[in-house]
Amino acid sequence: MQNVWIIARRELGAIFVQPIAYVFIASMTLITGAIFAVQIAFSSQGLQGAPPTVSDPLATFAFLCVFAIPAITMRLVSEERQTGTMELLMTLPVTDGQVILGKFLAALLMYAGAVALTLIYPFVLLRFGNPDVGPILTSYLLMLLWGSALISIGIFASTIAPDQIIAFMLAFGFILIFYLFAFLANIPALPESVANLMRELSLTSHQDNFFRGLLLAKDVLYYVLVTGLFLFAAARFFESRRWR
Amino acid sequence: MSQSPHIMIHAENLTKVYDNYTAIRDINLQCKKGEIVGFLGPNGAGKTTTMRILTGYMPPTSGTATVAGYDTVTQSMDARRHLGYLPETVPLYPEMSVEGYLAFVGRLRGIPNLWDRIDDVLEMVDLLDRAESHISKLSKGMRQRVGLAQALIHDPDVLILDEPTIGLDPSQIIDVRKLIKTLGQERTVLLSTHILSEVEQICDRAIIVIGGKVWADITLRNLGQNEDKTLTLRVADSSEGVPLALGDLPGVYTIHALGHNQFRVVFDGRDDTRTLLAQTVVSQGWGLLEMVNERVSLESLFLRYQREAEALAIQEAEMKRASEASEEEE
Repeated sequence: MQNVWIIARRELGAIFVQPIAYVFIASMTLITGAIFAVQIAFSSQGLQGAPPTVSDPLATFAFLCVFAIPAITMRLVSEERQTGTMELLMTLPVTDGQVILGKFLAALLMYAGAVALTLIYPFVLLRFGNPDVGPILTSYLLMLLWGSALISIGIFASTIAPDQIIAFMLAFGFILIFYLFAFLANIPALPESVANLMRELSLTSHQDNFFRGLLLAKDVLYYVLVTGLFLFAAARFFESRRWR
Repeated sequence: MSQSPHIMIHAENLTKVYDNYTAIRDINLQCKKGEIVGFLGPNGAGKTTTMRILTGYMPPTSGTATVAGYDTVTQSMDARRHLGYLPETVPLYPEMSVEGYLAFVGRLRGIPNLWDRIDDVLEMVDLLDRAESHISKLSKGMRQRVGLAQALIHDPDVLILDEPTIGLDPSQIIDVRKLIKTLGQERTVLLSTHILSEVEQICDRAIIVIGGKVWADITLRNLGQNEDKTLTLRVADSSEGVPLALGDLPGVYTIHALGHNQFRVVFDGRDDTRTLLAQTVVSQGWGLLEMVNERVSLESLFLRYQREAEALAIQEAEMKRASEASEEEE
């Protein structure tokens, strides 16, 4: 576990050297802030008429991650391969799983930092409005699960891709497919069973309950499973690189 | 484990096949404690592949390797703990400071009193004054030394260095060679290089790989023993009688013309013969311009082995072609 943290610390340093982290945090704060402000400004009763939750800004945040997360995760593994530091990592006394977990943890912490900046909206609501605390809590839990799932998909893509551009394209493609399943399921010609399966597999259809304040085990399990599955696959692929 | 305890690097029948290309074939080698071994070979001979297998970076297709008694595949973590490795491409994170980078490696290696140790290794590679510099701001030679410091940080029993002096300036080369020589007294060092004189200066042994096979394993102390002695002779007279007359002298085995007035003389190595040669040239009035002992150098050996390997490869290719041709006839 200590090794995971050592890897994560170095990776966090590397993430914050690059402009992408600052662009991510700044644009997320700006866009969600704008949405939150507009909701209040255009409400006739001022803060009294403000929405009782923060689901709109957070849903936008989550949607933008479809593009933003691949940009953050693309370099995580493929850069090590390109610069040759992979040879160092693979000959130091750390396991491949620890390397992958460390990178995951670093990206998740950066993401969590950006999410934490949006906590100002619920605080504003708590202070001046009349919010519903339950949905706010579940919404933030979703944000964490959502980030984990997308980051692990991104890390998997970065592990299998030969360079960063392909890593980005792959991650974006994977996430988009899972994202769009919920919409594609609405095609009328699809048999009901296939449509249901696509809805269950979709990254988006599991969001709704959280935003409504409903905490269901299957929704939590879905994101945890996606995260675990892609991290496991990434670690295995990372290892298999040795054999070529 | 059946091998003796002071054998620190042991490779047995290492073979590595990439897709359909065989990089190394049946490599066997052993390095003892307190031994500095030079790993030589032309480009593409399989040096880096062998080193990567020994460090556990990749597994062999077949064969086994142990470092400090630990199998590099099945006991990889233990082997890695006893090993310091400087890869061919120095693995650095450019955004980190020199000490930050060494701290990262040191933490993963679980080193006690890490910051004292970082100062120690920085002093060894003469970079103490650049401890806080960003790696991206360093020259190639400095980066090379940061890479070396990384390999030394845990005071490993076995050091594997892939071209450690590349990119260094002449005075740094001398310093690093001194450092390696000191380190090698109590450890095992395997280093690859293209600089043959470097091997002669710092190594106890040289292993020459050509075409993915170990071609020779030379103990450098014995270099040139049991070999006939050779000298080059340059005279003012260039007539044909010179080599004929000298070739007949007792103790002289053969004589080759190198230029129109220069000869390579292979003789029994005795001082009498040397004197006789000089006297003959002078008394005949041929004009002795130069008489130089030719030392059997690693370079001459290396080139000879390379020629042998090439000749063998051509021979094999011809035999293969001939057998293919005869098959076609049938």
